[in-house]
Amino acid sequence: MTTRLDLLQGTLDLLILRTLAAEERHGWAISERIQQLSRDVLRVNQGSLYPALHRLEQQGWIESEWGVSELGRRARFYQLTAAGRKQLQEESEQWAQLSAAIGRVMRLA
Amino acid sequence: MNPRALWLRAKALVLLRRIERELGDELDFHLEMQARKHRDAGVDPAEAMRLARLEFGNVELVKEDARDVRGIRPLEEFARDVRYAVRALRRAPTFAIAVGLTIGLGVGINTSVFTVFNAYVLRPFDVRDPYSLYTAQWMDRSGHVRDFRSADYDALRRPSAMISDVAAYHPIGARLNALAATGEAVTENFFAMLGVRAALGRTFVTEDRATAVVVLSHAAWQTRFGGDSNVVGRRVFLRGYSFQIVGVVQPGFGGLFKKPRDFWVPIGMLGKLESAESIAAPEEQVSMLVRLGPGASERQGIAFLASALRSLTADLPDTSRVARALLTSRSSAIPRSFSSYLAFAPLAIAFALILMLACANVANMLLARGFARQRELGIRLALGADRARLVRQLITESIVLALPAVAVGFVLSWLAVNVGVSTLFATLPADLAAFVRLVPLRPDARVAVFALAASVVSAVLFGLVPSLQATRLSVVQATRGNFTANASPKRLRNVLIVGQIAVASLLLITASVLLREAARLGRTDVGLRTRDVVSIEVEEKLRPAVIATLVGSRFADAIAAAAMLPLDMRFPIVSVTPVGDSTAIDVMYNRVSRSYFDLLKIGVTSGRGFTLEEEQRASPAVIVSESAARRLWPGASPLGRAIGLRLHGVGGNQDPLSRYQDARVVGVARDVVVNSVENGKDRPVMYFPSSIEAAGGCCLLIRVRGDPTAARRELDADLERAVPGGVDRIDRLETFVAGSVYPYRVAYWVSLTLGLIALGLTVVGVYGVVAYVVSQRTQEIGVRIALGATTRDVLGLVLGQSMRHALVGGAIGVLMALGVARVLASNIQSMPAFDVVAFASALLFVLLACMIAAFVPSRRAARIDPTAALRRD
Repeated sequence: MTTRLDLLQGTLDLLILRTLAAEERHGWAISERIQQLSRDVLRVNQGSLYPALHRLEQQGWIESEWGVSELGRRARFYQLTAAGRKQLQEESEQWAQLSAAIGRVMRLA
Repeated sequence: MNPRALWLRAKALVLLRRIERELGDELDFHLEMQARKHRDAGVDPAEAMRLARLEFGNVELVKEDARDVRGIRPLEEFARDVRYAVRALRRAPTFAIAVGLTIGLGVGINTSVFTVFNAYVLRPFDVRDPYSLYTAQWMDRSGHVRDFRSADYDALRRPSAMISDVAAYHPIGARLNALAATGEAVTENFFAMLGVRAALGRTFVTEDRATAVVVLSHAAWQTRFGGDSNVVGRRVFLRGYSFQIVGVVQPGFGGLFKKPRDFWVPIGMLGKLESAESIAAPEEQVSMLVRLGPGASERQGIAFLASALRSLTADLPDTSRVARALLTSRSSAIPRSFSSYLAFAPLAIAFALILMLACANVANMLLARGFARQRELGIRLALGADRARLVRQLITESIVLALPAVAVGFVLSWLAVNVGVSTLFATLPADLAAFVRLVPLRPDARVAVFALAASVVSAVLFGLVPSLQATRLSVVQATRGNFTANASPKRLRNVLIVGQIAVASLLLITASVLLREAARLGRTDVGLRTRDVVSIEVEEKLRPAVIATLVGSRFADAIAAAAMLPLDMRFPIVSVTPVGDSTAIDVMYNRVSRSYFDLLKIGVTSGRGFTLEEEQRASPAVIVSESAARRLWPGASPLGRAIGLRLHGVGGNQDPLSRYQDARVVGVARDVVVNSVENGKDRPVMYFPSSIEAAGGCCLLIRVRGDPTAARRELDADLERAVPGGVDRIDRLETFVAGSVYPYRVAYWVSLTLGLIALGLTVVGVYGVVAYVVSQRTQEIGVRIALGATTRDVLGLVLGQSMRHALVGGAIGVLMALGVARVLASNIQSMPAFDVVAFASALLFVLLACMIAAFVPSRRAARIDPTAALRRD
């Protein structure tokens, strides 16, 4: 079993926005997608996922709609808004800068 | 908070239940998917669900967090608090009713003032786009504000982006069918420009410009013609001319001014109705109503108007050319501006004080209740309740308490406004009542919102302090069961009571000062004979016919003429320089017939009156008042001296006085009150001669025979028969004296009413607090009595404190009242800065009332049975 890491403070929002960039998803699918893409390294704490989703919606970066899931159940689907796309863009750039900077310090120090 | 978040939150409020359900559904779905995942991996179904739940953690906690994010929790709590408060109040209905009535009273009288403020200042006129309407005026280079020439109208009417429409108007005060009326001469596009339609017949059309037609207001149609639907086509007399009624305008429209108009005539008729001599400057006789174009700002409009005026005034002498243009909003009866808000401020403050008093009373009641609830609150605090949460709950209770006050206040204000208006008309001197028109004072949505806001604000005011006080107790004490040690709202209660007494003293002292002023003015000898004198304002062209009728009337004993009506009109000013002196003094003047002094019993104390020749030739002879003589020639006789004259104002060249550079003093007249009674008798005045028949004066004065009221009525009827519509006003001269005292009587009645309500609230407050203190100290008093304290000792113990409150409160009230009296005295000449009698009597009254209020419950203290008191607990 691989080591599981807790998410860095503040990165959950970025990951949620990124997972929604391609298509709309419901909450469970978002957490599965993050887990799957990180090869099970990143586990989303469910207790923080839903408050985060609602907070992002409150901020106007994502919006939700009730739909039917792939298995025919009623589920709430989230998708990016235009503002959310812009936010994702900004946060991705910041993240790239931050990780590059940390990487450089780790390599050279 | 961004608009979107606000929207989501508002939605959350309305759809509280649905959102809650959806949140549940969403989390259930998640759990189910997770369980399915485990099942797919081969886990037993029951175990799969357990695993999913385990991974998820506390579902309720997640829900709670999600709610917090959405801002639902405060709402949920609020709803719970409201339910809780309603339940609690149902258990204490007397308390709830007492609070509802107290706050309702405060809110009600404030709402009635707001109703008036709303009707005059806030409510826009019911016309098309009222906010783009302005009256245009301009200031010339010598600083005079000026109107327009009729010809300017066509020039301004040329279409432009800045000004989309223009109408000209000029007010007319004339009698309509022998009853006082105010109307306006307007250009024929006036109604179309405002989007005002006819309720009956039609408004004006282009062909009406110079025809004798009249449009009535809906109110005038109702009151003067009994709402007769056949009124169109009938004829009425205005200043002796017959006009045909062509229509009645839509209900509620009375023009764009403070005083609603009764009728409108085409502006082309103005020349017939107004004689040139009676207007200050006939070449400028119209006011201009402009509508700014869409998107044009006030500043742009002013700039545009100024440039238009530069070319319009290019032909005038240098000092008469435009310096700047002025625009006054016509969106409501009194333009919304800082100065109109300021004018309402003293009234608003006085009324707001009453609401504060009501709040103080309720706060005191709540303090007592908070004390009673200390146990409950203490336990909740001990169990870990958040103090902010408890304060929120207590304030929610206050708001629930205050909500019935909205309804009480709304009904009360409606009553107060109606009673106020009918009292106004009932107590106005009868002749003046005919001239008073009020804009409709009906409550609307704004008034309802005000009542609601006032109630909620008072709820927070009266609820905040006691709830902070009640939740202050420490957990340690609470768990020990000690609920009294630290929670002593005594000081707070003392502050509230002292404040109440101070406000009650302030209002009653002010009432007392105003009452004494009104009485003083009522007693003032104006120096003129007014009892049997009737004044008539007459149009120039009809003057000979009116005089002929008067001369032949058996009711008229003597006739005099005056350019300006004493006691009513503001006299014009002339700058006077005694010959041989260089300093000019501004003096009021009037032109009068030689019979004026005798008819009004103004004694000529030295020199002589005017001669027939002086009167007929309007010679440069002058009679000065005693105070004018003292000002101009201190200690010397003015008789025979020459003065240089220079007239002020734009209309100066119209005045017959402008023919002379100087005049010679022929007599000295006794000082009399000139225009308003409160200005006193010692204003310098000069009289110049003018004959009764001569043009240029507004007024005739008639000494009548027999009962003055009956004589006035008979004269009026005679004149109406002989010269229909020829008289603009006919009044007893006494009416004007009563009229100038009347505002003081109103101010007195208003402040007396406020003061008595304030005192009533204070008395209730004092009574409540003393009664409460007595009930709290029953044991202590019982011990004292058991140890031998006499009734006197006990009374002294309880009363002493109330007495100290009353004295401190009274002193603060006196200090504030001194400030108010100083402001009043600086504006009203006849008012002394410090009226000892008024102050002392009002203060004594307040102190006495407080004493009685405290005495009743303290007697109960004296009657405490020590054995019963000690057995308690």
